[in-house]
Amino acid sequence: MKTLIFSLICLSFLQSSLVDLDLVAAFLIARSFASYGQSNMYLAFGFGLLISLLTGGILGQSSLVYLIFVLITQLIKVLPIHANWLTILPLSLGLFFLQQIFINLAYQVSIDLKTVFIHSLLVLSIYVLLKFWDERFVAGKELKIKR
Amino acid sequence: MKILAQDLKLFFLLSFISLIFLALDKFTLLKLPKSLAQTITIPIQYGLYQSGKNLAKQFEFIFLARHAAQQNLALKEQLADLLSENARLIQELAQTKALVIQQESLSPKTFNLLSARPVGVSRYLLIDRGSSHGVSVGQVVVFKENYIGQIQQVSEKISQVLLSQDPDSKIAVYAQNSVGRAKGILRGRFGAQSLMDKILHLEPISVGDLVYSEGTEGRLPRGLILGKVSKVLGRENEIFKQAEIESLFDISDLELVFVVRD
Repeated sequence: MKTLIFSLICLSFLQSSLVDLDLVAAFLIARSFASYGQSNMYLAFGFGLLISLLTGGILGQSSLVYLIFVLITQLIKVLPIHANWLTILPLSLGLFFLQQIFINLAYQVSIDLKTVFIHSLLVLSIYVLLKFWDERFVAGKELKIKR
Repeated sequence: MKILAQDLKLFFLLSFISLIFLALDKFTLLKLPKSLAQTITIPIQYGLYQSGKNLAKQFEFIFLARHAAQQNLALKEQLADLLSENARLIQELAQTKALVIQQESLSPKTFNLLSARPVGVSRYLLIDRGSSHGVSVGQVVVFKENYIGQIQQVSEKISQVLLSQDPDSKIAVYAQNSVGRAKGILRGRFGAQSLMDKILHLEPISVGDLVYSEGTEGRLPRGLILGKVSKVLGRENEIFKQAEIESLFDISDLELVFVVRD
């Protein structure tokens, strides 16, 4: 958990200063898809507030968006469709597209489809990394030597 | 299902708290805690931003060098194009000037002139106009009011000009001076000089007189200059006297000549 929080703090600062991508949202979606839990909700809320603070936006705005992302992801997780790990791609595409529509309606900014695709690929990459990280101490099948 | 209900409860609770934060911030009631938090976060953000910029600068020169190389190549190509265009325009300007000067010598109302460039000279002068430009055998080639030669052979794009200095060239001419006029036949000799033959002893001719075409050979206009008298040869016991005629200019110096089409 500590590593997770530390990673999210780093990603928040990177997102606000250097990289023009929603790294925190991508991480939260990937994490919610990888492992079910109420901690995802708390992380979404907390880091939503942090992102709003760092980017100078209105507090609570990003939290709401991230909470919706996590809720939808966890709802998908309950369905049998989640068994195929590639489900994360259309899920992230849909979520980020919805985010673009919201931004378009709220700020009259045109929808950037390129960003949607980049974020989806980012979610997939983070998901794979998280899966590797989670299973790093999981022993594989033992090799049986025939006598 | 139970877990889902718990999640929904948590979601609504956290959403409600987010909305409270949103409302408080909208009415700038969270200004103080925000500014306190930002005193910690802003230096970190600034440090990260500066580090990122410095890192990018380290690699920037690679892209700049590549871009500069590409730009250099494009500029070189552009310069080469411009130089060719410039050379072409200078040539066209020279041609146009020559045409204007030629038209002052031979009126375009009387003569249909076609400009041509010499592309080679050995025994014959080669010009870059041929049958496709309306050139035909027998047409006269001039430069200003000077006679150059006559078209002897024509191909599609190139023509051969028989020069007045060629031994095969025979033209009826006259030399004019203040005393009178002397008629003769101009025969070419290899080299820069020709020989004006069949001049009657009674007819006055002296060194420095200009020699003109009679215009009795079909297409050859009258009054074209063929050269000037450099030496008068004559013996009293001979019927005719002769004169050596030298050309007024070197054929190889010509950039442009004109074919009299009709």
